Amino acid sequence: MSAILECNKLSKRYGTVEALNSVDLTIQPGKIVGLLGPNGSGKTTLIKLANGLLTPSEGELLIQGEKPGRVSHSLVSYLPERTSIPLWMTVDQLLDFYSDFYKDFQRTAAVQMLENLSINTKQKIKELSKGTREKVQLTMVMSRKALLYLLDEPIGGVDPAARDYILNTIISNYNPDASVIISTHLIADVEQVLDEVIFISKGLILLQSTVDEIREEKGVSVDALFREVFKC
Amino acid sequence: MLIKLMKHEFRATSRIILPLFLVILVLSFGMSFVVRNGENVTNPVLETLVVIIAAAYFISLAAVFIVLLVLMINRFRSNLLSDEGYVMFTLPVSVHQLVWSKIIVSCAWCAVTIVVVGLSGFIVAFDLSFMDQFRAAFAELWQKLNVYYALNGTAIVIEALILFFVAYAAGCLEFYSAMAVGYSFDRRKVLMSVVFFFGFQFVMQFIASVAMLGFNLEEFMNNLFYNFGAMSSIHLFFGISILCTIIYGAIFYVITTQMLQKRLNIE
Repeated sequence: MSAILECNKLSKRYGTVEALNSVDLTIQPGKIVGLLGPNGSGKTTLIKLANGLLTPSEGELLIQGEKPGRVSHSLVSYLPERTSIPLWMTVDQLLDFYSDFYKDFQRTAAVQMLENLSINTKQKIKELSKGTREKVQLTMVMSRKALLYLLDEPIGGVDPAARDYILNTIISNYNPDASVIISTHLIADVEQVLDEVIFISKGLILLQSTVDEIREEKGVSVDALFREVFKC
Repeated sequence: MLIKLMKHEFRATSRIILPLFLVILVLSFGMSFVVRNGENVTNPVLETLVVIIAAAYFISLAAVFIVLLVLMINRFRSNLLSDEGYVMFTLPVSVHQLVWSKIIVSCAWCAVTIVVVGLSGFIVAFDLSFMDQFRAAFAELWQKLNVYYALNGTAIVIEALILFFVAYAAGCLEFYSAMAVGYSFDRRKVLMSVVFFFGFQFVMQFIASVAMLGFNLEEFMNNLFYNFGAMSSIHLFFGISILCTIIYGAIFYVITTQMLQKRLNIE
């Protein structure tokens, strides 16, 4: 089976700071992968590179064999770390926006999810609370039938109840042939949904393993292993 | 996809500019009343009202052009270089389509603004005797020019319009390129955009001045007139001006798209 995402000797420097250092990585379809690392480890840089928001300093990153661009954008559903949906739109206009640009956008499913969340689609996004805006954006992202979901800190900054909702949304909405990459440092909350984990630190991949392997071979939870590896 | 980008760009901008057009048109009717009856008003309250309407009318006319400029700059900044950029640059569209959608919609609003301001002038001056005289004099002049110089007025108007909109688009691109460069820095993005805007202006004026050294416009036009005849010279002059403006805009287009593709650094 061909890889959904592949990094070959991928490096990214900001001036003299090495954000990613010769990363080799392969993500296969049908997996929920946790991209785990402390703040500033290179998680967001990797996700931005996969979305074509940054260009590599060296090496390459391929999505289904293609460099990030128009084609990969139609395959990838991306949740940025910051809420970035246009605040001036109403939720209805945002639904129009996603329907117009993404052929795989399931408008009916999105409307149903918004209804479950008691979000009024006539309301302007700027009138919604910060947490509700995040839920609206996640709804848009997860209502696509994409091949790869790149979720950058989807549960950072929301309350525990919203965290549960977000994780349930991810599990119940993603297409089984697709892969999900969740970047976070809140491991305990996401561990239950992960198939695989990647530990990243200072731009280097320290570990790529399945969650079962960690539990069976090392006899610890992902959270415990993370605390051990990244002990200050 | 370009059409869809333009649809949402119109949606984003019309909510700001359409109310302003409405204000102008409403004030035009007020101004029309002032122009016709302002001198006969003796009531002090009405006199104050007349002054306020007249002032508001001229302010609204000035405001619409300022809003047009601010909107053009701010849409590029907020939609592409701030948080919304995360959504826009991950759409299945090219950077070229993103930039073109901004240019086309800005030019379209400029055209609509000219029409609205013209309509407003018509409302204010409709049926006024001096306007009738002006219209008659202009029609006569137009006819004489057409007959006497065999001037193809329609072609010249079209050429002038093309030159105006090409220049407007090139102007937009000059702002876009300065922002695309300025926002590629990690800090002081706005300051760097302003610095690059004036830097680009300086460089372009310097290049133009050097290129124009030893160039005598009068002599050039006389040569054109002599070799091609008056009418062909005017068309040729417009053609050369349009071409130069396209080159000017193309330089900024390349800077803008290259920066957005290679050095994007969203806040």
